[in-house]
Amino acid sequence: MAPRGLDGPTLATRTLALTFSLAAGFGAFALFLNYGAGDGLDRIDWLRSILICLSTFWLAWGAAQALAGLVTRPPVAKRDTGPITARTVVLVPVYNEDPVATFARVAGMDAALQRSSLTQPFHFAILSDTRDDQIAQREAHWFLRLLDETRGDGRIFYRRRVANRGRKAGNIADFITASGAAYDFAIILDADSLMEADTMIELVRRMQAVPDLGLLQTLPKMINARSRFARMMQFSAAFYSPVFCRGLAMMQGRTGPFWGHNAIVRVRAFASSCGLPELSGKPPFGGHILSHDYVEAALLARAGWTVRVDDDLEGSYEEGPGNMVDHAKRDRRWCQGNLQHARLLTARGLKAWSRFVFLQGILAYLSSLLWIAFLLASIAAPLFSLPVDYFPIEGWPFPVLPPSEALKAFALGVGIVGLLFIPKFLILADAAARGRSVGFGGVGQAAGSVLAELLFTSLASPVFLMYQTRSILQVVLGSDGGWPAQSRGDGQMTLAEAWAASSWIVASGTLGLLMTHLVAPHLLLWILPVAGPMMLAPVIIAWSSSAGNPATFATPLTLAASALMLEHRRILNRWQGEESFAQKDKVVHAVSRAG
Amino acid sequence: MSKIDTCIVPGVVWGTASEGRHFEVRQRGALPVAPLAMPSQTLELPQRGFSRFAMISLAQWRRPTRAGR
Repeated sequence: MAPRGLDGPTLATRTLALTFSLAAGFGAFALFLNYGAGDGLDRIDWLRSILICLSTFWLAWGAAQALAGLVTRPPVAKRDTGPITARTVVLVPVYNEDPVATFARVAGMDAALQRSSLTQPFHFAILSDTRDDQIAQREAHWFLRLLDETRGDGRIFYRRRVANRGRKAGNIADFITASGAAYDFAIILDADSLMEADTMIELVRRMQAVPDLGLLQTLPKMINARSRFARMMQFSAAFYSPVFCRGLAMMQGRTGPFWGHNAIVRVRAFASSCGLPELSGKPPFGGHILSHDYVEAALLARAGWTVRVDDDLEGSYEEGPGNMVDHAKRDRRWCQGNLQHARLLTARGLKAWSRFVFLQGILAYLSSLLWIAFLLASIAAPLFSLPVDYFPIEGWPFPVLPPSEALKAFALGVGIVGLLFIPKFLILADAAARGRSVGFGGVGQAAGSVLAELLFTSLASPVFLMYQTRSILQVVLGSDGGWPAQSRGDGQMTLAEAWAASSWIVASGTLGLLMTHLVAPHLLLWILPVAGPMMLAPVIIAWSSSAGNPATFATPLTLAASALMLEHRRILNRWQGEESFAQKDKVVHAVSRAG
Repeated sequence: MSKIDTCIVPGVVWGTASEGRHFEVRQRGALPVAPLAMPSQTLELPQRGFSRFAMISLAQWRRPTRAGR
């Protein structure tokens, strides 16, 4: 593939976003330095000003992405309107997942594709990396059931690797080296992914229309959330993410993202560019590349292929963690993967934007450390400050009080909170103006959900800040998080379970508040919004893991599930019923034999 | 290619050759046999100068911590 330059809109969006973020970062730096200078500048003031500059830059970068998404509309994507001639396989990698739930999704998607009367049928390949033999036995059983029920012989395939070398990326690579030549395109899903038949067909039409398109990513919407936390995430993904994704699509140009699933790849492009090496050294920084998707996107772009995310594509779904602790566990894996990308920042031939994406991923985690460092430096600042000289003018009998800088600090605080909140309010206003809020229960209900989401994220952020900080420290100190199976299901936690998972956060919050009281009592009110939620972490975790009011956080798909979602649920309920009946039957037989 | 377990129901032949490609499935549910090369890409630069120094320093610094666990 011949390398091509940046197009005008991409360059303009990147320049504007960078200018805005730099201006916000340096504005915060100047304001804070000015605030610190009120009682004389010292080294800790400089340190805090630099920390606030970096943190604000990062927040402003996120806000810029939303603003770019609000002011642009997706271009009409080229699509081939002729018959589908390409051979396409849908890959479903599984790893110790519940086979009933996963295979029911395959059955639902296959049935929907069968109704589309395609001349070239789509195939499914379930790629098992399951290590648990009992789950593997169930996979074999339910696969035969899947074949029989769908009449999927020669269309639906299954294999289990004996050794799961290279984890998920190795699983996909193993398929490509064994069977890749049979297909033009591969739609890569996750075990919990679901995709409408029309969306899969549209992906193929777009790939057929643009020969240099190597990978096309969809924006998956979260579905089937039950707990308060999961419903809040589901609402965010449906309400805010399309706008952020639009902004991202504007900034990335032809060097788009790959999020590991719910995307289509050109098999030959993927095979020739994305063979991942094992990094020298031991995990967490060496060994297999954990967050392989970012690297695969970078490698495709390096080879001259276009990588794109089309934010206008609907009908692509995934499920998410049911509680904050499961979210933090997944985030631990992502943290290690993103920090490992530090090894690849200087890899030869990568596009500058790919390097920036790696850096962005690293900063997404390091920003937690920056905030923690800023808070600690602020608490410690009085220990380093110079004593105030109330009589600076020789011979003048009256004391001169230093000017109050509280207003500047307040303005800075408002500005930083504004960078977090204003994009979300603008998205709400945009949704109301364009009628998108109707799908979220109307303007009033959408506004209520936005406010509830802001309140909840304000409470949850300090807790996640601590989990992220711990993850970073673990990775830096050489601890490998391994490859834990993803928790799925409703994820309800008792208060005792939440306490076990977060007692160290409670202790940290209490200690922080105590230190502030002793060293810098005037900062108590500023620290309380951070230390308070930390001290209440078990309550927040347990409360948010339970089912809440279904009216809050309504999304178009909770108000009206798609036909595919309903079909999947129907198949799942039937199969689960059969499995539980078979288990009961087994128990009855065992008891009668024992008797 | 790692060893794979495809033996679901052996001895059943499914699938045909298509568009000149070899496409054959020999067992029920087994993947089509159609190999495609996936060469490993070069990503790491040889460690020299500062990066080598930094990695060695990090390893030295980590050693006592890990031994102390």
